[in-house]
Amino acid sequence: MSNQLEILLLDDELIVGKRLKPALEKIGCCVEVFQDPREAMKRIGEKEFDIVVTDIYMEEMDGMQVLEMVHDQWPRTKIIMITGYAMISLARDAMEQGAFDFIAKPFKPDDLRKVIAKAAEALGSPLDLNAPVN
Amino acid sequence: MSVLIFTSDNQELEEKIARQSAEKLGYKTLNHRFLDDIARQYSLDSAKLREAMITTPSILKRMSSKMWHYYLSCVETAVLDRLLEDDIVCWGLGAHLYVLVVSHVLKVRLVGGDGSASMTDTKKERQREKWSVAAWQRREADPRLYDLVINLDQIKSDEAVNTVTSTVGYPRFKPMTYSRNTLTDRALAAKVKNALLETLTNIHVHAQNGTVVVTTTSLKREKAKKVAAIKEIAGKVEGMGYLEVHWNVDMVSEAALGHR
Amino acid sequence: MEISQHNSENSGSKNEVDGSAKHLYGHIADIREAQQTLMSRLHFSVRKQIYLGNVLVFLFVLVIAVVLILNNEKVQTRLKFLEFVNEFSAEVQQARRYEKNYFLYGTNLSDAIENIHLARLIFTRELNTFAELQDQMTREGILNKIESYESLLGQLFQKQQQNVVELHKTGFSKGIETKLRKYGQDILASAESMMTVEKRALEKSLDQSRDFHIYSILVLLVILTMNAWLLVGRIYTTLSRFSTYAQRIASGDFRPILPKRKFRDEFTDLAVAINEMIKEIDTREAVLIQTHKMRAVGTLTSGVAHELNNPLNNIMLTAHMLLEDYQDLSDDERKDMLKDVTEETDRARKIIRNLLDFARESSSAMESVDLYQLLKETITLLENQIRLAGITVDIQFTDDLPRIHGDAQKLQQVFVNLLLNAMDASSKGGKIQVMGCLEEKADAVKVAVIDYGQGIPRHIVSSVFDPFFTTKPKGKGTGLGLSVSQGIVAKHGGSIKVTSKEGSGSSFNVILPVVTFPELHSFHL
Ligand SMILES: Nc1ncnc2c1ncn2[C@@H]1O[C@H](COP(=O)(O)OP(=O)(O)O)[C@@H](O)[C@H]1O
Ligand SMILES: [Mg+2]
Repeated sequence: MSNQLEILLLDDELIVGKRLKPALEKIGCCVEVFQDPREAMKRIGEKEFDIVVTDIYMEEMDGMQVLEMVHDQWPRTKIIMITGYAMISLARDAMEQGAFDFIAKPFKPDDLRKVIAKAAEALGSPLDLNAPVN
Repeated sequence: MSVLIFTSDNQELEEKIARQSAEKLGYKTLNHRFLDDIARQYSLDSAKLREAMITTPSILKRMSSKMWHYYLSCVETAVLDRLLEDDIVCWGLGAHLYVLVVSHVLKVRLVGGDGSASMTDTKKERQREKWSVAAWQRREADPRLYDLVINLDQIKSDEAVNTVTSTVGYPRFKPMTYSRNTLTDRALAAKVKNALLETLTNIHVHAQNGTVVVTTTSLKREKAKKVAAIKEIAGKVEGMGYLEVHWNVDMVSEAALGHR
Repeated sequence: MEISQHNSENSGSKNEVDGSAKHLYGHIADIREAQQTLMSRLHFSVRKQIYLGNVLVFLFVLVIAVVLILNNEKVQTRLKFLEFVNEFSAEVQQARRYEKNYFLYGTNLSDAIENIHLARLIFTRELNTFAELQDQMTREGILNKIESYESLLGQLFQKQQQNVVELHKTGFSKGIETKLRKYGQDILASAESMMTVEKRALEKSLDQSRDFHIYSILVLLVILTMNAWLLVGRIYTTLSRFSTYAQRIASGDFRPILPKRKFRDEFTDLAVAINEMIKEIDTREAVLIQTHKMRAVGTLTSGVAHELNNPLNNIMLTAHMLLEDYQDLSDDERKDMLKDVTEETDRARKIIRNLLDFARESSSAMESVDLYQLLKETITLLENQIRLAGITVDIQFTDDLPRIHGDAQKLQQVFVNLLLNAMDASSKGGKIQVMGCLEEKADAVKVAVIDYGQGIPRHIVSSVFDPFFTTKPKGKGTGLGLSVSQGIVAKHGGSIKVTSKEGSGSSFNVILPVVTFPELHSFHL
């Protein structure tokens, strides 16, 4: 399935990946989950993802750095920031650095799905949220 | 794609620059003319509503504190409702004071523009400060409240228009899920507050992710009644998520009562 | 739409501050007790002591005066008596002289008779005086002899009236002469011996009087000295004790003055007033500390609120997915999801528990405190702040640290303040070191909070502990952090010292004695 969206999900919270992977797969995405930002960066170096979803505050590396690097390397990739430390200045900085969207934790799986759908649309391969693939 | 709010003590220049910016960006406009709509929508006295936008409550002007707060709340609710639509230039409605935390709103303060400040100006400034502090606990002239402060004595109005329109184009002022949610929450809180202020006083409302927290004060013996009333009224507000009522004793009234 | 049944009770929060502040520093109960005991003691004021001393001296002087007057009286009678005896023997001598002349030359006898009569008159007139001094026997004897002498002279005089010629040469005369001579001699001898006895008695009285003078002066001196000594001792020692109390109070030891003496006086009133003042200062300081703590809590809350979003997000995602896929999930998967929810709830609770623990107004309790543990907990409490600021905090404690005696809650507040200050001073990526070690004399523990931030310019180093001194923008700094911290540490008998170099960082050293204010030096009155 070549039009399947390739998503990389990076969050040092285990549960985020564990829950969002099936949630996004249900809408026809192919999701790779990472907890360690460095491994994620390695993977990003190897492959162009359609969408990168990343946390901002992580032990090893700042999500803003991830954003910057992905943006530099794969300008087409849509990057979605998710953070528990949402603040107006941080949100604006993320957008300025080329983030596609910025979501504050806690959010519902549907919130992310909607954003992913929007990103997919922006990428030119729209998803149909109402018809989940099984 | 964003929201642009102007504020200035010089209404003429403010209107001119705001209109030009809206034209250039192709945005809708929202200004003091909207007050008439609001008055109609909430069945308020239009003249009094305009007065409430510039003066603080006083017995002389037959404007009670309760009424004043309610009138302002009506404006806030209606304006926030419109701001949710995006792509809008707004001025003359004090809106910058209640969307501070919304990242896709570019808040611009225009200062000067009519030569040196005159006596009436400082008086007017003081009046504005009093109003903004009473209504929103913020000094309107505080530059930290704004993303951009433009001195019209040094920058021509068309230059200001250019600056503002290009700034609002920065990605950082683009709406995003987070900022839309904060704006939606602000709008919800305003709606709940407005519904409550129609009959009650001493109401503070905060909303986050649809969860609404109402904080209020009253005499101890009126607690149950007030809390029940809040639940009753707020429960009917559209878009309401989870409601929590926090109650504090009204120390001042309690003390006043105790001394009788 | 859901409506919560919950409505938080923040009622009367102001009252609560006042109410529990009373227990904050723990001395209030002590003070109340001390006040009662102080006042219930027997009243013995300094004024009373002064009065009593003076009355005592007065009484003593009075006694001396009376004794001296009596003694004087005695001496006077003795002197008078001596005079009489003298007069008496003079008369007798005179009589004898005339009597001799009569026997030698036959001169007139009447002179002799007159003299002896006078002598007898003197003797009988002053009989009372004599009675005091001489015993009955001698007195009677002398009187008899005088009478015999007089009667003999009378016989002779009668013969002379009968105009017997050369009567004084007659045998009759001769007989009388011998008798007269004997009586005369006896009388004189008695008078003489009386005089010597009296003289000796007088001398003795005079000696006694002199000794009494000397001794009473000495005793008076002793009494006066003692009186002054007692008074001065009482006032001076108490005053100097009070000045030590004042210094202690200034250094932050707010323990009340405890009753020790068995009585109550003006100084007790002063002690009671001081205790009252301590209570007032204590309550005020407790309120100040609590107020400042709530500001720190406010700062920490934003970090915690953000940190809470992570477990909340996990719960939210899990719950929603469970709801969505409930039918398609296996039992194990559902269980796993519910387990995640419970665990994350627990995590959320832990995140706020630290802060709530810190925020809680606790009655202060002095307990044994492990500073290493306390510092680790404090750093956990600040974790979110630290993370947000992009700072690393290093903690190093030597192993041999003794536990100290203190109020863990208040001490935590001190370290929160110091760490927040260090964080404010550091820039992103900065490092803060927390080091604990034993002081040289092993009687105190030192905890240093070291940052490599902006440092403190030399000209303001001396003011950083001043209340309300701040270089931070309004709304951020209160200028109370260090002043409150110093107050707390002082209450533990310790101190905070600062060394700083502008541009390269600061070190705040908290020195806490292992034993706080040894009880043996506690306040007593
Ligand atoms: N670690 C530090 N580095 C530099 N300056 C400091 C440090 N700690 C305190 N100060 C200075 O001391 C002042 C007073 O501190 P404090 O009493 O805690 O009040 P506040 O933090 O509210 O300003 C601060 O404003 C700051 O100028
Ligand atoms: Mg401080």
